[in-house]
Amino acid sequence: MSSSKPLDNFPFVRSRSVEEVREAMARVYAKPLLVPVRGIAELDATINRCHLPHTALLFSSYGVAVELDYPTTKFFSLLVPLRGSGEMSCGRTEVALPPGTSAVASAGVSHKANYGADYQHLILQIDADVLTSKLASMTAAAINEPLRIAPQANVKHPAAQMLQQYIPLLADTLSAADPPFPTWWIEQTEQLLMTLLLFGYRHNYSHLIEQDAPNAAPWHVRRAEEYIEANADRALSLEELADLTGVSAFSLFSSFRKYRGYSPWAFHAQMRLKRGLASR
Amino acid sequence: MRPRPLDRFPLVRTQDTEELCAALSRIYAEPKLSLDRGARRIDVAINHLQLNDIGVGYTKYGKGMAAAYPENNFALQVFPIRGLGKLTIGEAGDPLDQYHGSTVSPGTSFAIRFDIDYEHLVLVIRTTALTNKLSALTGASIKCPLCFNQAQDYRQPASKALRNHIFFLADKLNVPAVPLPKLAVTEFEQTLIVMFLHANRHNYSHLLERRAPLAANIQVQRTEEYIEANAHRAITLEELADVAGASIFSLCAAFKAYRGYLPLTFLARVRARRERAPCG
Repeated sequence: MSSSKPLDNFPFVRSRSVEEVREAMARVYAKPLLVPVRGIAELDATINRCHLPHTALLFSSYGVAVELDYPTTKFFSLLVPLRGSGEMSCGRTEVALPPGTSAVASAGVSHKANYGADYQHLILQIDADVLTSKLASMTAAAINEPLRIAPQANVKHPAAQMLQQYIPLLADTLSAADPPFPTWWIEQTEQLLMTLLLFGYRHNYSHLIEQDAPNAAPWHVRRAEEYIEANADRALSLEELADLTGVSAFSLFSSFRKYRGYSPWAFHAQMRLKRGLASR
Repeated sequence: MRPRPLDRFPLVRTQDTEELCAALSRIYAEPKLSLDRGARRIDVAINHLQLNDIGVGYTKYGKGMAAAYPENNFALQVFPIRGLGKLTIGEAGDPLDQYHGSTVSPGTSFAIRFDIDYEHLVLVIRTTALTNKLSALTGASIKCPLCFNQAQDYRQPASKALRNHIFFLADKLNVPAVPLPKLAVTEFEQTLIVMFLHANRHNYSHLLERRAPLAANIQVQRTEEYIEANAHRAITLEELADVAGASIFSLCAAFKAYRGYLPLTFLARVRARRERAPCG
């Protein structure tokens, strides 16, 4: 028999049928598109799911190489690969999923994934409203623009490392909990997970919680600067920058003014000058 | 030599009893030491990491010895790594070995002895942090001194979970890296305090086990007024429970029942509303 897998006492679906696995996943996601690659007709899927008050912890393994196309969700997913290889893409960002890393799919953003035959991972799903409320309580700001978390961990941040290593420990702990732990125990653990996630990943509100670096510009400003620098040789549109950062053109302009004291166009001109290109 | 837990936070390495006493008295009330018959010197290494309300220590005793400690203003729990020992409070003595540990209630004197080559981790938690958390969770005022069961069996899921978390934390914080943000450290401390209150039976355990009664509508209103008045800064659930005079459970359950959302969701909405229509 196969050896025991994480969260085995929370079975969600075990099946060889593609259709059955899709039906089961549709209980969590809007029905995802699930396709085994290279004409394989059967899966060997194991999905375990431990449902907690505001989050859920899942283990999944499909047994064959698969492609998944996830529609938008109302929760954030933190993927913690355990073995094998896979990759995930959100819009234009592609993230490899080797063991020892982690990645995030934001709520309200569709994403795709390719998993190899021996790929296994744990997923932490966090309700978007609850995570947004947590963010609000950690800051003094209004959270109007939806929270958008960068897919790749900020690997230099100790919270990212800690979170990624903590998830397997939590899976073990929940599997061994008989009787189950009380709600107040789990809710505190959820608070810890959300805090580590909000520190360990860059997002459009990172600047509000980085007390240690009060002058740090928000994520969207830095992202826009990187992009402008990389594309200084051509003309850029405002729509392009707004699309890239996920904030409105207006807030992008005002953030530049607030944190940098100049406009994105001034920065563009500066970069062109630096590279010896003619000003536009 | 393999790295020992918490090696980055050395407190003392000594063969001298006076030096050891002086070092220990920086954390504990000063103990009285006694060496095994015939022994002249000791061989001790102690590391200690003090966070805000909790401390985690590592101790290695190369030679057999005993120590008698007077009362402290914190609770303490011992997690043996290897070797054998015994912890005695009054008449009751508990073995210290791979599977067994011991908890000392705040304000309690105790004696501890170790055979040669004994190592353990120790968790200390300030009494005020424990009573504050207890009253936040239950809504009760904590008048009688906290009193914990002494014996610990680390094969029990709740105790094992706490033990694994302590080892995890000791391991992760030993890696030289950028320090975790203050807020993340606080959240970790809160998690360990909650796990401690769950894993150790005590004279308030029954309050944690009963179902939370709903807070009254007037308490919800008072909380809302407080949120309105303080929305410009970070607010914690503990603080709201304190204002309402109810436990976190009761308050959240009451918000859910009367309003259909949670207190921090209300906070987020207040801020969003103000940003849309700034007044004054």
